[in-house]
Order: sequence, then C-alpha cells, then structure tokens
Amino acid sequence: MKIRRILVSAAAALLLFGCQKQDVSLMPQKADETIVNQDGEKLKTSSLEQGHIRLQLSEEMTELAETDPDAFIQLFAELGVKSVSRTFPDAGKFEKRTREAGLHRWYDLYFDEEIPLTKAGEELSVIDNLGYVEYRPKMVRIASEDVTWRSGSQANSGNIVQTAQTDIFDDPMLPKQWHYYNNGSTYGTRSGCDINVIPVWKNKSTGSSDVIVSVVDGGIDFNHEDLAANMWHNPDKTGQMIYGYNFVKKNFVVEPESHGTHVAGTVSAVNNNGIGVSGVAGGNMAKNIAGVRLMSCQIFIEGSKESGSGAEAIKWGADHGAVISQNSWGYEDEQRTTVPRSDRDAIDYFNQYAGVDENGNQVGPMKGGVVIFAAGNENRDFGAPAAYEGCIAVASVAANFRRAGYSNFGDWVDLSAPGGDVETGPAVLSTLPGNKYGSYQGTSMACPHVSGVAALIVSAVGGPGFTRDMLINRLLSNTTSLVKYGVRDIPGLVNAYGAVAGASTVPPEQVTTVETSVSSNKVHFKVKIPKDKDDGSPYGISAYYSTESFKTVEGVECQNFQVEDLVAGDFLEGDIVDLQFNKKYYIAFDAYDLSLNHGPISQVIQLTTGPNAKPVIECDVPLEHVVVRTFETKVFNMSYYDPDGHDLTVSFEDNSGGAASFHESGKAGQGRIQIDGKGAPDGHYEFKFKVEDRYGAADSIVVPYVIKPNTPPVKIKDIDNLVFGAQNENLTLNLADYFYDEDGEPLAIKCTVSDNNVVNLAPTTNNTVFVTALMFGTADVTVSVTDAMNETVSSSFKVLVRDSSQPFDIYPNPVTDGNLYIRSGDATSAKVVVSSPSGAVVFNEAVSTDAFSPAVIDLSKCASGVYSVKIIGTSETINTTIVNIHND
Amino acid sequence: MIRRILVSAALLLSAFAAGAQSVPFVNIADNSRRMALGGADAAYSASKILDDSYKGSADATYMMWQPQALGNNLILADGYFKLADKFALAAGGRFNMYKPIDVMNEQGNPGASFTPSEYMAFLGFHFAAADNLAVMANAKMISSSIAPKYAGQAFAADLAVAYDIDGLTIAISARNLGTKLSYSKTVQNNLPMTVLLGAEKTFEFGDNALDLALDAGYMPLHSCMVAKAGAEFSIQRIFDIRAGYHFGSNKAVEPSYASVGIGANVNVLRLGFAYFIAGGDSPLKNTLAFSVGARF
Repeated sequence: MKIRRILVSAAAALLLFGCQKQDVSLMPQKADETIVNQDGEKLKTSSLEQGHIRLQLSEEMTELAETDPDAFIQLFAELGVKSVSRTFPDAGKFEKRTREAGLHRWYDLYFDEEIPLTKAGEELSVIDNLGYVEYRPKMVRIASEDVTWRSGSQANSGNIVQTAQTDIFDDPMLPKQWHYYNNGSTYGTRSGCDINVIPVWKNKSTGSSDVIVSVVDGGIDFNHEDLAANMWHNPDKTGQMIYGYNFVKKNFVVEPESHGTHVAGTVSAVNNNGIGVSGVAGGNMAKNIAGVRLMSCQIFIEGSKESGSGAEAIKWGADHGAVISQNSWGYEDEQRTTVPRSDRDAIDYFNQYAGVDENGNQVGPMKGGVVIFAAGNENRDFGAPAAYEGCIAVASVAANFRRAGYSNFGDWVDLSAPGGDVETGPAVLSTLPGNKYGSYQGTSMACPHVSGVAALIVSAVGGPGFTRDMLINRLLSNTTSLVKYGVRDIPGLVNAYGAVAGASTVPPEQVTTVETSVSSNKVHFKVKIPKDKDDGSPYGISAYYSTESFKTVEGVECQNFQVEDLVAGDFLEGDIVDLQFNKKYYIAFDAYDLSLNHGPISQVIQLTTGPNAKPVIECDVPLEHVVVRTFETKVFNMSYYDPDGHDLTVSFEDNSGGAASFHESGKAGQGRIQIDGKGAPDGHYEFKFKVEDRYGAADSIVVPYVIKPNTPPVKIKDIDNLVFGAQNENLTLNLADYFYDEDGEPLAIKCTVSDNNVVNLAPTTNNTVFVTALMFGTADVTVSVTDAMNETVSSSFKVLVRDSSQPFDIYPNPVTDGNLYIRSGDATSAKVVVSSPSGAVVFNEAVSTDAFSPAVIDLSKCASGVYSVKIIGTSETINTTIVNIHND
Repeated sequence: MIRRILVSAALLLSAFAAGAQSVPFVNIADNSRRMALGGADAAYSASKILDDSYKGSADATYMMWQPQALGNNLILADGYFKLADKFALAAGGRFNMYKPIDVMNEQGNPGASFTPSEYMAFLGFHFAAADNLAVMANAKMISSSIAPKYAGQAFAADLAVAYDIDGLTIAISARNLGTKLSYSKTVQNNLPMTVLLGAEKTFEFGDNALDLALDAGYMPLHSCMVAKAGAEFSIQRIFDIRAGYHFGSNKAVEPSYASVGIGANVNVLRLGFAYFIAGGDSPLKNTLAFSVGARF
C-alpha cells in the first residue's frame, strides 16, 4: 500500500515535471544568488557544486531506490539526470553496520550543470516524501605554500643549530622542524613552542605499525623516500592499488599530490633513516621500529579543483582498519555556519566503528575512531566540517606561541598545533612528491600534528580496552597553555609528552641526595634527580618546608621545580624562597611525574634561616657638590644589591621637573642616574634614590644638585676677508680668536659657503676651521658657532681665490653690462688706458683697486668691438685686449 | 626745407651715437698710398673712370694696425677694371685678424680663449656720365665675430659723384649706408656711416709732380667731423714721397694722427709704404702698411 502510494506520487511528479518543462529549461544562474536549505540556512549558489545534490532519502524512497532503481531514476528524468548512486556504496561485510548508521539512505544525484540549483531544488521539493536535500559545498585544501626545499638544497635553511635534543634521530632536516623541537634560535620562534614530542620518542614510543591513520586529502606519494616504508598496504589488493583509494576517479590507483604528501609526512615520515625529515609517529628505522601506517584516501588531485567525497573517504578508512582519520580539508563558503549532514553521519560512523569488526569486537589498537579536522584558514569563528562536535578541530599556532593570523578560532576548536605563520616566522617543513621537501603553512599543517600525536598515544598505550574517549581525554587534558602568551581565542597547544605520559602509573623513585645552604630567608638546594621507571625521568621536584617537623607531606607547604632538560642522575638546583627570617625550618624533597605521581620523600633536613640585611647602594663617583650647566648631561653609574639576594624595587624622585632621571642598565642591580641640564630651568634641586626588598628593608640617598644658567657665545671680532693666490692653498682659522663662550662648552661649528666649488671649509674638533682654496673665484662665507642651548653667533666674510702671478684680473671678458673691473690681490693704484678698435682713447685715468674693491671702467657708451687695455702699475705695465658688447 | 630735414635727421641719428664706432676697419683707406695721405681718397675713389690712361689696377696691402695695443693684422685687396670707356667694375675685400682674447666670467675666473675676426667684401660699379662727370656705387657685406656667441653681419652701400674741372676733381660720397650689424637679437650696432666732400688736383713740374688731396667729412651717427689732407711729391714718376694728416673732431670716436709714406713705380708695378705718427697714449703709434700693386 505504501509502495503504491509512492509510485502514484512519483507519477504525479513526473507529470508535473512534464508540465513544467519550460521552467526547467537552461537558465543562467546569478553569481550572487542564494538558496535556502532544509535547515533554514542561506547558501550562496556560487559556493556550491553545480549539477550535484546529495539526498538523504526517506525510508520509503530508499526502498523504492533499492527495489526499483529504474522507477527511482525516472523521478529525476526531467532534471537531465546523469546518475543517481549511493553516497556510501555497499560495504560488503560492513554493510550491516552501514545500514544501522543510516548511511545507505544517502544518494548522490548528478544532473545537468546548466540547470540552476535553485530551480533543481524547486523541482525536488515537489517530489513527495523524497527526504532531505543537501546542496554540496565546494571542497578546498586548507593550506598555502611557503617555500619548497629541493632535496639536498641549502635554500632557506635558517640558522637552527643541531642540538642534543634533535640528535635523537639522524634525519638531516629534523633540526629545521621547529614544530617538533623549538629552542627559539630562529627568527620568529620562541623556545618551547612545539608539540613536545622529543621526550616521547626518547622514553615512550616512536609509533607503531599497528596504528593506521587514514589521510583524507590529496594522494600520498607512496614512493617517497621518506614515506614508502610507512605506507599502509591493502591486503585485498596488489601492485599499485594497495595504498588506499582514489575517491576522485573511483579506483584504487592513488595519484601523488603535494598537499596530501605534506600532511602525511608530518604524521609519519620515516624517522632515523638518515633521509629528509622526521614524522611525529614515524617509528625508528635504525632500530627496525616501523611507524604508524599511512592510508591514502584521495579526494584531491594535483592541479585540479575536482574533488571526491570526503564523507565517503572517512567511512572507507573505518572499514579498512584506520582508527584515526586525518582531514585537512574544508569548504569554500566562508559564510557557512553549518556542517553538512552527510559529513556528520560519516564522522559519527568513523567514531563508532573504527577499530571494530563487523561483529562489534575491537580488532584494532583502539575501540572506536577519532576524526581530526583542520579548523580552517579564514580567520573567523567557524569552520566546516571542523566545527562538528563529533570531530577534533585543530587551530594553528605560529612558532612564537601566537595564533596564526589566518587560523579560525572559537570555543568549538578543541586543540592547537604548530601550523606556522610566514608573517611572523617559519612554516612547517615536511615531505613533497618526488622525494622533495618543503614548507607549508595552515591549519592543514597543524592538523596532522594532532593526528600524529594521537597515533603516538595509541601506539604507546593502545590495545585491548583502549577507547577513543581515553585518547581524546589524553589529548585534550594535557596541553601547553597559550593563555600566558595572551592567546585566549584558541585552546592549548597539543603536548605529545603530556598526552602520552599523562597516564603514567609508576611514581619516580625517592630523592636520596640533597645539599642545602641558607641565605637570609632563602634555602638553596641541589638535588640529584631520581629515576622514574615508566617515564625515564620525573617531571619535577617538590620541595616541602615547615616550621614544624613532619613525616608526611600532606598539608605541608611546597614549591615545585620542573627538571626540564635534565634527566635522572643530573643535579637540579633551585631556591626555596619567601621563608620567614630567623626561623627554624624542616625541609624535604620528592620527585613527581606528569601524572602527578609523587615518589617517596627524602630525609627531612633541619635548618635555620638568617636575618634580612639592608640593601646597599653604591655610586662610581662621590655624589657631592653636584653642579650641572644647562648644556651638560652628567651621568652617575649606580650599583645596588641585596646581601641576601632578594629582588629589589627601585624608586626615584626628583623635584626639578624631570632634569634628573634613573635608567636601569639591563643588568640586575645596575643603572645610571642622569642629570640633563638641557632645557632645565636653572636652580637648586635634589633627587632621592631608594632601593627596597620585598620585605621592607631599604636604603636610600638624597642628593642636592645645582643647574647653572647658560651663557651664549659672543663674537670677539669679525673674520677678515681671505685672499688665496693659488688653487689648493690653505690656512687654518682658529675660532678662539673670533668667538668666546664663557661656559667653556664645546661649540658646534657650521660653515656656509655661497660657492662650494671655490673654497671648502672643514670644521675640526679642536675649534678650528681648515680652509682650502679649490678654484679661482669668489665666495661669501659665514662661520657660525652654536652652544648646547642653540645660542648662535656668526661672522661673515669673503674669500677670493686668484692667480697671484697676474698683477691684475681684468673681467669680465666680454663686457656685457657696460662695466669692466680691474682687481688686484693687494690694494694698489694704476693708470688705465682703454682704446677703441679705431684707435680712439675712450678711457684714460688713474684708478685704485684691491681684492674686494675692484676699479670699475664704464664702457656703457662704447660700441661693440675689440678694445685694447693698458694698465700702468707701480711696478709693471699690462697690455691686453677685451671685447665690449653694446647695443646701439 | 631740405636743409632742416637733414639737420633733424642728424640730430636723431646722434641720439643713438656711441662713444666709439663699430667695425671701424671698413673706413681705413684702401692702400698704403692713401693711408700715407691721411686717408684722403674721396675724389680719387669716385673719379677713377675718368682717367683714360689705364684699363685697370689691382692692389694688395698688409697692415699692422695698432701693433702695440690691439696688434691686429689687416689684409686688404681690391681691383678695378674697365669694361668699356665709360664702365668699370671694382671688387675687393679686407680681413681683420685680432690676437686671441682671454674669456673671463663675472667673478674674474678665466675661461677658454677666443680669437675675434672681421672681414668685408664689396663689388663696385663706375660710370662716366660725361667726360668730366663720374658716378660710383659699391655694395658691401660686412661680418664681425668678436666673442663667443657674438657674431653678426651687415649689408651696406657706398655712393659717390665726381666732377672734374680742369684737373681739379671734386667729389661727394656717402659711405656705409646700410643695415645694423646684428650680433644677436638684443645687440645691434650701427655701421660707421660717413659723408665726405673731397677734392684732389695734381700739379706737374716736368717729370715731377705734386698731388694734393683733401677730404672733409661728417659722421652723423656720432656727430663727429673728420678731415683728411695729404700731399704726394713724385720724382721722375718713379719715386713718391707722401705725407698727410687725419683729423678727428671727437677723439673718443675718430683719433687724429699724422702719416708719412713712400712709393716706387716700376713699369706697371707700384710699391708703397705708410707709417702713422701719433702722440701721447694713442694706440695708433707705429701703425704701418705695405702695398704692392699694378696698373695696366
């Protein structure tokens, strides 16, 4: 009865399609058009796949599809349907649980891409009891490339120094993988901003081949020199079809792709093989320990926007043995606020059925799976599918503990991991196809760090009875907090050691070797670090102290000290501070691991603290009769210390309004007091310098000082005009002969020359000016001296550079403005006769001349032509010719 | 009425007069004979066509002009040839070479040197309007380059009329009537225009002769009177002794000086030498010239 009613409805729908054929005709879709899905969310059609709609069929419609596929397809005939098929194909032995999860009801409908989605949606809405219509968003990889290192290249190698920490493996690029061990030695990095995986490799695990990670991404380069040994092999296939599945081309041949290969390398590049990089869970080849296995679930192809079904790929991983699903992909629509239902169903399936056989029994290292998603790179408070609560969303941290500028954020994010940020520092280094290596940044790169750590945890502690909830609890409960770095919009940084060792059950051994010394209210100790059976070394040492004797540490005050890079057998030194003065104390120590398992306490030591001594202030010069002129800056180097070693607080007061100030030098207990007379009003002042420890013991000095007024410089006399008789002649002006400053301060000398080609004036440091004649000519020069208060006085003079072998300079030639000048080096007189070309004498007079007052001969009434000039001087006679230019 | 117009024109021209004249080398006499006669040549120059004893003549002269002042070297050449009894053509030119000058800027700094130079070329026409009446006209091109960026040309004409009364030749001529010498768009100079009234007569004493020449002139652009007088005594028509005086009323425009000279005539050839005698600070001291010529 039910089937018949559906058929009738379908027939009616067919009729309706037939009647509305015109409406279904090809119509261009507007770029900014939106469509509302059945969850009430508005979606931009430009962000959706065209010609593709995913359907979650009703039970009745599912029955029709399975019992009468032809009739089912006919429902969509008017849409130009190309194919209709299950989103999650028949899963063979897992089909039963597939159907239990309802995944058999999902169908992908492919139709003519020219038909607008809005129109297709309208047509589907009239099919009675069809089910849920899901418009498919376009998928994208979530990363951007930074720089590619070719194999063997030194490019962009940075200045990271190989350390004892990274010596654990011989992979040559491990020292550059700051995301595993960051000692802050590279620009843009901060020590400790890593996933703290080195202690896990040393003490816990390097990965296990029992653990399979499905990489839902571009295809992994399964032949890569640094990946091949850790690739998963499909037991049901042979040859090139064993590494996973290609969901784009719907076959078993995986095609290498950059993004997927990079992600895979972070999870499980082969460790300690003397090649390339390290992976988080890549095993230890030198010790024949295989890493976690990489299953390639390919949904992207190199250089193509074509994509496969992410949901199908996630489920496929669960059905083929993966317990961790690594997903560095998302959707193109940056306004989307929901996660598609089919994705959510696939994630739920993986979470429930990964690591479990068709009968519900655990067969993998973990019961249930974990789906890990990159949060997205849009710098916004949402990301899909990452925001779905069924998966672990991973944000990206730069190498300096700050959220990467591109990373999505918000309460829905579960973890952070290093993803790099080239705006502030390095990106993440990993494998690339063709035996290459390179750096990418993005939450895509952060995500596989979490997948790798999850795989490490499962490798270390997985096995029968280990569940996905245990894994998630370890991952999320043992992170490195970012709050102290001011980062509050994403959660803590994944901490591999914390997550793996967080389940330690064996406490460290007893502390047996202790040395102590007392200084005031501080006890300095030196403790030999005991062994920790399951962790190798304890995480820290607790120092217990009480004024009363104790045998157990309950209720006893303590201070904790992390051992950091020290290991068992090393000595940890520290100070127990803030004890009471002059008091008898009982002190003991124990060691603890990351799970806060404390070992037995040491022997209790009895000692007595000392008194609180007053801080001490010292100055490099006597602070007496301090006089500062307004041009002066006087500096007093101060040192101060507390005999007990307590931290000191410095205070400084000055009543001049700012003339005196205190500046810390950067070295503890050192600084300088500076009195700057510049700009300060003259008068009598004092400053007070005080140092005080936190317990109130203090020392201070009060220093009176005087600021005396400034006296401007004055001019004693003007500088005489200078005559040079040849080029390159020089002389030195001693400015003390011309200027005087009562304050005796150094004066700034400034020389201004009208023509720098004629003469050069070079001030020296000993209050002189070196004057050099450069070429014949004249120049106007001003020499100014300025004191520290910008009071200036100056003297101007002329400089003449001439050829002294010529008794007279006769210029200009030609004469163009009617005046002919006759100049001599020294003051003299001469008779001048100027005759015209016709022989007429046009000027015949005695004249006086010197270097800066030349005689002027008026030729303004004389016609143009060549004139003879005869100068009869006191000692010689000059005959020459000049040209006069005149306009009648 | 005409006289009043002439006076007005002279006053107007004098308003533009400068204290010296440009390109004065164009006013120097043609050869050493005329130089030795104080430059008096107005009647002779205009009446050549009336002398029927020769078909033509040619002369070349080298002159050291103001040798102690400007130190110029002046080369002059001219020729005259009768095409018919009443027609003759004349042509010639002169080249004035100066010593190099040192270019100096406004601050007295030396620059490159420059060598000024000037030249003039003319083509003349002589016509005997009657047995005792001659007219003459010359067309001239004058070029002067005196300094970098200051070079120019001018075009001018000489006009003259001569009348012979029983061996006394009287002539009137106007010289250098023409354009301004344009050195640049803003520098233009007048030519040394001169109006001359001249007379010349030869007294013969057997094989000897005495030639007297007198010019009186006016330079309207400079409001300057000028007079030239000279005498030549010829012995046996072979040797000549010459003396003259050149008078300039405005010494700032046209200097005064005395001149002497000698000449020799051998068949068609003639040689000549002239020397200027100037006093005081006159740069014309020791100016001299040599000529060689031919009559045919």
